[in-house]
Amino acid sequence: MPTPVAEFVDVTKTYPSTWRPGRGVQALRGVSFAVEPGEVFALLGPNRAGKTTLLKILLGLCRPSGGRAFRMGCPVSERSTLARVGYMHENQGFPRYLTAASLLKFAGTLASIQPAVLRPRVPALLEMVGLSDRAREPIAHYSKGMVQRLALAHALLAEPDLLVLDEPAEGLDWAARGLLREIIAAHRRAGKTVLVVSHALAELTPACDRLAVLVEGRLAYCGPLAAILRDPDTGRQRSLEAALAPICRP
Amino acid sequence: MNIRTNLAIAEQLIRDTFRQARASGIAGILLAVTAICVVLCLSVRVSGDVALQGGDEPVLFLPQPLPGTVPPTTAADRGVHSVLEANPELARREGIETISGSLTLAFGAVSFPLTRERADAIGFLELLLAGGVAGTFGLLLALVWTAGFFPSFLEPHAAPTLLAKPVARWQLLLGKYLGVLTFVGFQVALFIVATWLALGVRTQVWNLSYLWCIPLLLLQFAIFYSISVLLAVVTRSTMACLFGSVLYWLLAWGINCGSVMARGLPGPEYVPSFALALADAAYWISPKPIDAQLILFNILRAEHHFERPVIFKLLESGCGFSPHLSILSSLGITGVLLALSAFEFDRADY
Repeated sequence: MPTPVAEFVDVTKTYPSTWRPGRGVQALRGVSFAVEPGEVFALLGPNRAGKTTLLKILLGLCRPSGGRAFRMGCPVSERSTLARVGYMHENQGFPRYLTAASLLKFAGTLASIQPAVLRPRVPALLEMVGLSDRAREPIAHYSKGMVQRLALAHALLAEPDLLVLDEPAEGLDWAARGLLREIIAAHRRAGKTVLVVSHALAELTPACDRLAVLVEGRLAYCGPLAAILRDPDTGRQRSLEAALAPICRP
Repeated sequence: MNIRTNLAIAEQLIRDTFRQARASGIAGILLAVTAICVVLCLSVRVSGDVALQGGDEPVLFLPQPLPGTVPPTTAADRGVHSVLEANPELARREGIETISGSLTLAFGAVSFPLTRERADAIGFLELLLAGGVAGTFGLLLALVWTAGFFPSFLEPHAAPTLLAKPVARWQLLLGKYLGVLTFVGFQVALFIVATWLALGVRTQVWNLSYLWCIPLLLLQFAIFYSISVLLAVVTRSTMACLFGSVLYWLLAWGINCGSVMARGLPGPEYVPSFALALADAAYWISPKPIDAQLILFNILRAEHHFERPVIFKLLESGCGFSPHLSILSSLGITGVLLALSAFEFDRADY
């Protein structure tokens, strides 16, 4: 059996309160599931369900309060496996004084990509996301959509085995959304994994294999997309919104 | 991760800091200050001076009075002095060498009578440049302006770009700190070397000890910037870093001054032993800006121009002042602050 690309075992996370010690916000309450290699996995849930916190734990940006989390079969504290992960999140903030080309070079070096590999990859990625003609301009001059395109290029920089996308369609125009779908499909074809958090359900539905639904920090559903889309009463296909409505009800 | 990759990461973080400095405007301001000072140095001209002493002779403007003698301040002496000053030719005929040259600034627009040797006059200018412009104004400006570098580096939207990478967090922190030090070091070196060269070219005075100001000023900045790093990691607020580092600077002056005074007072009848122990501890565990000023004072031979301040006398007479131990203990505090920052940064949630 292949090692899961991402695995959560009874993960809990409580954000401590600054002013009231001992009391805090419980963002995750015993979440357990695994993401297998080669699948497109969606993480869904209403606002404040704990989706971004779970991704942050996977990426080593925050620590779980309890339970264990694994990335590429290793504990998330093992940072070397981050070289095989690409991450794009909504409201990505890049240093505004950098140009797109210098940002990718900077990020590529931090991701331990060899200069010889990085040199041709940076212009190729900028070409792919449609920023090659603005590559030498400071990011301060970019629109939100352009920053999101750059964030996509940044996430793909290390040719990752696991691509983590947090609200990737936010701020993207229709052409860029099409590109995003193509990228997700290409990753699946290459046997790589995509973990995506999105509220754009209609766009996401055709792309994903399995999904997990978080509600108030608890795992409410984890299984194949096809299973949730089948109405258990009538046996007919239903929309994802209709399928999620009873699950997400508090 | 091998050494080559680590060096490449450090290089990128240093480059990033230089870009950040350029974008924030501090690089331009510091370069402008350097340019103005270099032009000022290039405008210096010394004329009509004479050499009064050999290279290794001590500077004595008046003979040391013998015990019990009365200083020559009678009206008759003063009269002779003014006659000689007004008639240097007469003085020379009498075998008395007097200085009657001038030092001009701004390409001759401002002129000062030269009452000392050329090297001394240039030494005084270097003291003003190193102690005043670079050591006080430049250092404070750099401290205030770079206070925002770390908080913007750790901004919630920007941090994941850096932190979701296989580089250890402490390495990122130290790399960025090194980047800021490299930037400030570059600016300090540029200022000191350029003004040294400009003064040397114009006056043929090549005071090599002036170059010691580069490591000394950089060291002072490194010590005070370490608290800014810690505050940035804990609060992620530019204002906290700005006010915190300036407050720390003032506090360090206060602690250093208080502890030196307590340690310098004679005998336990003036200071209780526990207060002395407290002053001793405070001296060793806090940065020492007064010590740094004393080192600078000695290196630039500022006693040729100023009376040695009382606090310096107390420091040297108190408990055996050692510049090496002073610098090492200050570096130790910097190391502790950086280690605390790295520890806090490593366990912080983003």
